[in-house]
Amino acid sequence: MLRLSCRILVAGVLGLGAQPALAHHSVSANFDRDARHDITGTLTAFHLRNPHSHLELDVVEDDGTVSHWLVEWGTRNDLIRRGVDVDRIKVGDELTITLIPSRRLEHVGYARAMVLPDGSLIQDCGFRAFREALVSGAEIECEEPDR
Amino acid sequence: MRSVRCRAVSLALGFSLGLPVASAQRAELEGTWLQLSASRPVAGLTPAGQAAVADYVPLRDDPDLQCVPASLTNVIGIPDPPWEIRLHDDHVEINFEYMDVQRRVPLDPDLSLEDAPPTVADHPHLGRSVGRFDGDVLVIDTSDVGEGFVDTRGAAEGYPQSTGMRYEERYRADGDRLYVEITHTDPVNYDEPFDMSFEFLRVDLEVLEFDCQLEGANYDDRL
Repeated sequence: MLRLSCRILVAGVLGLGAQPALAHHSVSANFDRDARHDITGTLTAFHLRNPHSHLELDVVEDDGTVSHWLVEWGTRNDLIRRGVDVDRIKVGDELTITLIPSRRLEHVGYARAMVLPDGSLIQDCGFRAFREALVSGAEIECEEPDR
Repeated sequence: MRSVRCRAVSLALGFSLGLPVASAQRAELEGTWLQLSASRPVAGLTPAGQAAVADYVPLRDDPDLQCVPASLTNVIGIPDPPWEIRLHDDHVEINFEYMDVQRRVPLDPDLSLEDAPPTVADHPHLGRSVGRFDGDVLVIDTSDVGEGFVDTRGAAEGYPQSTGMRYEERYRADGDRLYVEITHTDPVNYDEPFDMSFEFLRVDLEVLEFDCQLEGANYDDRL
């Protein structure tokens, strides 16, 4: 199991005892958490914003056609608060994104993790891991995403 | 020196009346909170409520995707962002990061809900609220909400609300925990009042500006 440190240390919490996490807003309703899909393409835009961020990629399909993917990600505030290194994501780079697909829309997904051109992994460990780190006073750690 | 003496006298008088304990417990409500757990039990729906739930399409109907907070329950219930409570003599200030919902709840026993101002000035559809203390529990009643959705998550996804919906929120702090129970009464959509409950952890986090960007918030151009 690969453990990824998001290099965030959170202090100042007085409580103890982690509780079960809840889903981020709308994600379960709009995306199929049981499905996984990898896409590789050129990042054409990165919108770090609320109520969610977006990555846009041009993906060359097997038949040579290019599909334009819209990949949702966490809110700007959550990504920054959780220490995700969003500054390393550059328009024009080739990314491989592991996503869960939209239940209704073609070429739309929700990012679980992404591999940058240098092979490094960018991942939002999520609210559950963030909260557990708050409670324990430790760094956020998250498991390698299913690929 | 004079003010110190006055506070000391007030404190001594308060102890004799049993007030400081309640005041201290009330004061514990102040702080910044992050959700630990949520309970959204399934409610009994009327035929109108069943029809509304069946017709709910998240990508089309979720107000979040239009940068609009769906309801007070929905804002309180979103797990990720922190929020804060600030107590004042005549009102309670509740500031949510999510959608920048800044709520003001008057503590005036003579104020009726009808005469209360919108609890969130920027979002009048969230209703009018009046608060009071029941011992150490902050109780907030709300009415005059807009028609829409109580919740868009979990088992309560797409639960509707009519303009007749009434909320009773109960906030109780216990050290580093905050417990919030919300009773929803809406005879149009539900067979009987139903509760949702949430537990929060006191945290040292900043409540950030949300600045919801409508551009890119929804998928209307792809539906």
